[in-house]
Amino acid sequence: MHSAFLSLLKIAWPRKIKVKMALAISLSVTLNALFIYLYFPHQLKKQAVQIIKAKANSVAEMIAFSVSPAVFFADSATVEETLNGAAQNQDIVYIVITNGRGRIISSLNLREAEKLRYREIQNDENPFRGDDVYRLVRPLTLRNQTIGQVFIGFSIRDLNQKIFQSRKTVALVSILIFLTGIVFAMVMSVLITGPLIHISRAANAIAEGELNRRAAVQSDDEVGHLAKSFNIMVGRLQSAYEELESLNRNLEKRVHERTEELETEIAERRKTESVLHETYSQLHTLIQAIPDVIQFKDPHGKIQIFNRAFARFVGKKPSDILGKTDAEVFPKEVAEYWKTTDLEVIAKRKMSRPDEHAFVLNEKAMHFETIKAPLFDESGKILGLVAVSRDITEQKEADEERRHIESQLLQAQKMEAVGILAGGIAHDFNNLLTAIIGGAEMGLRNIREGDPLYNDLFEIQRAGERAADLTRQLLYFSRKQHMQFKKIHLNELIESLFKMFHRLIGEDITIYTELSPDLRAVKGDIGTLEQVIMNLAVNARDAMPNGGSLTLKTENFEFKEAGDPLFQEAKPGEYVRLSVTDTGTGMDRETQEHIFEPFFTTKSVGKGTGLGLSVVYGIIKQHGGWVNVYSESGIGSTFRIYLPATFDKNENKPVPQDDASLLDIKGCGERILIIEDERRLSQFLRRALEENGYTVFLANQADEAQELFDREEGRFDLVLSDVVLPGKSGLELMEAFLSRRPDLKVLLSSGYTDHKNQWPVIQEKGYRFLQKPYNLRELLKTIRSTMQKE
Amino acid sequence: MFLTRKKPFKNIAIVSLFVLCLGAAAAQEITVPVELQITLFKKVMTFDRNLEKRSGGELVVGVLFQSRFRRSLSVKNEFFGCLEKMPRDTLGQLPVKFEAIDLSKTADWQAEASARHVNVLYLAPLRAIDVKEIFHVSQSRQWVTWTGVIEYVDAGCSFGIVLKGDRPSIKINLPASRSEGTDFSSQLLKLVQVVSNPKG
Repeated sequence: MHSAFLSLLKIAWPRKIKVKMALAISLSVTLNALFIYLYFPHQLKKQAVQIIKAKANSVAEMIAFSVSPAVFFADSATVEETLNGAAQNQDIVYIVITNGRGRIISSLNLREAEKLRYREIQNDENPFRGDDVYRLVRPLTLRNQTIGQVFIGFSIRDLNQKIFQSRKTVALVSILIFLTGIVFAMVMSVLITGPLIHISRAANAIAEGELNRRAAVQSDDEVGHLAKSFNIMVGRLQSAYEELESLNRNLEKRVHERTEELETEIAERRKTESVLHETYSQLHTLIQAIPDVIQFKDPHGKIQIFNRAFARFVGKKPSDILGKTDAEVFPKEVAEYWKTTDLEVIAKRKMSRPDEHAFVLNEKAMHFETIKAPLFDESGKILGLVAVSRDITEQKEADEERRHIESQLLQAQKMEAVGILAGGIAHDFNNLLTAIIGGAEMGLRNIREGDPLYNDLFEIQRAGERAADLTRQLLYFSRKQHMQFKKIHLNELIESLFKMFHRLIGEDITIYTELSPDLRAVKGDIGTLEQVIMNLAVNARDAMPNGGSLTLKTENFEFKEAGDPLFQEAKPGEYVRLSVTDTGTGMDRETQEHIFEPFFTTKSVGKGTGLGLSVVYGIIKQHGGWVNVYSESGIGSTFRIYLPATFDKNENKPVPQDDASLLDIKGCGERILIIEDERRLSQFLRRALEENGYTVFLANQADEAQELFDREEGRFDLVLSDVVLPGKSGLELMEAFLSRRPDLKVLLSSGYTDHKNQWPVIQEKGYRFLQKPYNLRELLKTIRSTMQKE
Repeated sequence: MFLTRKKPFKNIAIVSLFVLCLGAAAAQEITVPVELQITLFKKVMTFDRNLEKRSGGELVVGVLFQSRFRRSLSVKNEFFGCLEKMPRDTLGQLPVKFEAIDLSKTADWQAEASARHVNVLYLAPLRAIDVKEIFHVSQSRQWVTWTGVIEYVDAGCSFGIVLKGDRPSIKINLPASRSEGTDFSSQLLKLVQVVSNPKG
């Protein structure tokens, strides 16, 4: 219904301005006329009623005022006077006076009053009931006491007639205004819209392209101004149109050019995008292929990009990582560490330094080196954080191993230096000791035992021998002594070392020995076996920092069956077992597994070389035996060394005493060339050999020996030469001599224990060798045996 | 008329009664000035619709007093002194005249009042006289009574000019006044103190 009305209104709504204007003016005039017609009579009636009501109320008040005491005092005369007076008022239709009980006391036109139902007055707001009478009632009061009522009817007939007349007049005026307004509206609309129609027609013509058309200017009012403005506008429009056409032509040209440029740009952009895509793919592949752990987190700490290594690192599927925080991916400790370092990097706003840290992931200790860098946009706002972590666990282990090896190497170098030092000292010591011992021995031979000097010389000889012994031990300790296997009795060896034990071990450790009296001999290098025993003793000492006991026990041992797990390296056979037992701190199982490894030590830095037990192991292995250990923490340790027993014919036979008489080993004028750069030793040798029947030719240097050899034309029975000589080695000198006299007997001697004594070459050439220091007997014996050598 | 030489005991009784009444009369005070009483009297009388019918062309006010009672005499003198100062009195078109009647000297005051054509009586303070007797006469003769003694209004006087608080007031004994033939307008009654049931 509503929409139908709107449609109808739309259809009926005039399209022409003049009609609209006419309608608007007519409607305005009509509304004004209607307003006048309705408003003014209404206002007139309202004002008249108010006047009437005021008048009626005033009269009623007066009557009530006059009548009240008359009623109270039953003054009927006053009542009558009052009513008669009121009757003079033409507007009063009736008056009825009642007492307090409602009984009528007096009245005026009572019949009319009853006809008009004078008692039916509800309120003062609606006093009219269409019968041209205004009803009202007033109470009669005296001295605050209501004594009755007065009902009064007022005629408003005249008033209504006057209002009706006024309304007719107003209606007539309204109609006149309406008709005049309609005519005026039509005329005005025609006058106003006429020029507008002209402008409209001109506008239509212009719109159809007739830009030269202009509107006629018919007046000097607003419409005339509009026509002028319109014409100016059309003129400008015409100019603008022509300019626009020109611009349009230029624009088309520019559009064409720009289109070509854009096509070129698009092609370049596509190419760039392709390159970018390719680069992205390469970077993505690169990131994925990088073994380092890579992750990118947004400002909220959520992981947005990561590589396969990262997924492997955290041990989760990619779908369980993407968009998660560290706390959701890592264990709590790791997540806390990441968070702390993340915040540091973001706060500093620069790339962090490589940071090493260790995690325990999946029950495995891992070391990582991480670099973190914040990412910013163009405005400097943080986009996120990149973290690259490298698993350096193997590197750390390798570094640790390298440091360990370096430490071992350093230790080895130190040992080597000690060895070199010991060798050098030993050489000089040996030369000196040879002279001391030999000199003392010669002195002893020249005096009797009762001579006061005998004991002194004897003590000198003993001291020299002890010094030589110490030098040898030192060389053994530093393994600069070459092995010479021979039959050895371990009991004797232990007893010979006993003094040194006390010196090495200290007085707070008690040493016990349980040496089997029927112990078999072994074949070995006495020096290295001494070192074995010394090393075990020193090891035991270090295991007993607060003192204790050390027991050395020897016994025969027969091993029958191979495959015993306790003796995996053993072969069936007869063995001699040396047990070294301490009451020290003992070792746990893991330590026991490594104690024979080179440079393994449980001692603090500087207190052990880590070579002791490995040397023991190596020496015993070289002797065809083996070693094992039994230890308990807090109780002590026992090292057992198994050495193959020797079944030499001389076994169990007492070692023949060197009871050869000096007479047997003395010379008979044989010519001996001695080449010795140590003058004290060379003097000792000259004197010793000359006193024992030899003819001695002495040279202190190789050149001197060469001259002597040339001068004597090589007529020497033996050449005794030091191996190490200034300018030329003893071996070279011997080679030269032998080239001239192949049957020449050669005896080499040296105080060096390392490569300088050229032991392998000497052995290879089959030269006899005498290790310094030596005593007179050994010298004479060796010379004699060398001369007798075929 | 009251005292006789032949009855000594009766005379003694009358004297005694007089002495007693003297004490009572001492309380009968006029509180409103006489001049104001006269002015208000004229106002009151204008509200009496029967005034003209009763007056017969002239209103004659008889002033009852006792020359032997100083207070009464004084009031009478003051009354007439005021009248002398006032212009000639009329009440509307009705002339007003005042006549003094000395109860101390007149044996028959009724006769004297009739002789003088009195139609209104003013009662000055009186002593040893039963005022009800006077009111009985006034009602029978349709003489309107008024006074300045408030007790007389309660005793049967038509109206009095008395003090109410510290202001002069008109007190009307409505039954008494109507008995004396007045028809006071209700407009007056609305304004004054009306005694509907007098004590006396």
